[in-house]
Amino acid sequence: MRPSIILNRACVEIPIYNQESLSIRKKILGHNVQIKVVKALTEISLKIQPGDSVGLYGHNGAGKTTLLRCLAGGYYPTSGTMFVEGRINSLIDVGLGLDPEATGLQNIKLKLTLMRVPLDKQKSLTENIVSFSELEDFIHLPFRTYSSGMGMRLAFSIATSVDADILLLDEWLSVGDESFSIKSNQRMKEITTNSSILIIASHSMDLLKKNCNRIIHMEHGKIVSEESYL
Amino acid sequence: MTVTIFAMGPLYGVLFSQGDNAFTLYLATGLVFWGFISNTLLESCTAFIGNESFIKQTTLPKYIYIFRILSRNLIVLAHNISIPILIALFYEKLSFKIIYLFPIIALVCFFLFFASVVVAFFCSRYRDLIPLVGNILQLSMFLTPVFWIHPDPKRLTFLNYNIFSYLINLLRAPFNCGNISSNDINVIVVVTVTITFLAIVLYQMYSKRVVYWV
Repeated sequence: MRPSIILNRACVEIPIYNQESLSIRKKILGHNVQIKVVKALTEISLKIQPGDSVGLYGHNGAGKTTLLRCLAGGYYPTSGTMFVEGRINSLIDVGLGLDPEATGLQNIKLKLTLMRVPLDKQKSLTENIVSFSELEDFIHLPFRTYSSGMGMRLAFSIATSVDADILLLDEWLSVGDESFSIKSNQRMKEITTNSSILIIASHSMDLLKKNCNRIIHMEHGKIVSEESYL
Repeated sequence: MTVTIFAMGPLYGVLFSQGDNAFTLYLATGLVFWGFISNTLLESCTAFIGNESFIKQTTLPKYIYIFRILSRNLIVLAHNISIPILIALFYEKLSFKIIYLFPIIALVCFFLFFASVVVAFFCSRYRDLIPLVGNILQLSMFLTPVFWIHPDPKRLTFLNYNIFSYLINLLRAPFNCGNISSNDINVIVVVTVTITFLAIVLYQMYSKRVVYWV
């Protein structure tokens, strides 16, 4: 099965609930509560094929992250259709699901399970992650004792350790001190070239031009224009 | 939990003039199982709200968050259940009937799972239901024979509409505190089927909407 993404006039409308609209008492008492709806994505039509690396470019609030979350399976389009085929690795929030009380090793197991890595593959991956993160003996200590840099290193090492067909990125990830950031940059290059579809959201045009063959401009939840590079 | 049981056992034994050792066991089973039921339902209120970041970024099915709560509470129950078992052993009330505990707990889990799904959906859309669920559970604790023994089922008939008393009675039966009654099982099965139906309908209709509520 070839990985692909097809969006057809997909909209995401996010209702903004406040104290009143989250209350069942107001509803029962018949208060006329208006719920404001924000159109986060408006009629997005998009076809992404294997080999595409797509850059999403736009200002804050243009809908880049919402589109990524939509593709990751979080937000379902409120109208229109979305079709996603292939294994997704979402690096939108690499720290998702890390438990501060658990040790580094336990967290690796937790995250890999969350990323649906089969148990028999987890062992070899774990060794890779431990050596890549350079945490050494700290890997046996609870995650909460890590410095923020160490935490990021572990989260990064886990999230980038698996192969996926579709890679979702919210800004280029760069973590750690000088030597580690060279290593992590290299790892990023590896996984972005290994995945058959890459989607990066960013403010930086330079970054996108370097890594993408298609750049999509977004404004107020709409696709404004698209440029192709070879 | 142990301290609570041994502090309250003699006290309530005297208050309700039960006095004998059987009451300590009655109270122990009541408290342990009530804690299991009420904590599961209470935690389900925030099942979706508390897992907002997962819901917004992953494709995990929504029932996973309920399973998480239920399995955590089952582990707690597995620890706590040792107290009534030890008490039963001490007073030589333990018999082969204890093996019925497994199917009975399975049935109760079935009920709790689907009830939790319903609670989780309603509480994430209407946040003022969360304290209401807490209040209902607190009131139910007093209306359920956790601390007291039902004097006469023919009097105070409104207590017969309380599903929790059927659950607690059934869970207690393997400890030789009362009998396994087919009436209890029937009531629980009927209520469970109804709630299951409601849960499935809610799940079908709203599992894709939850992300916009949390």
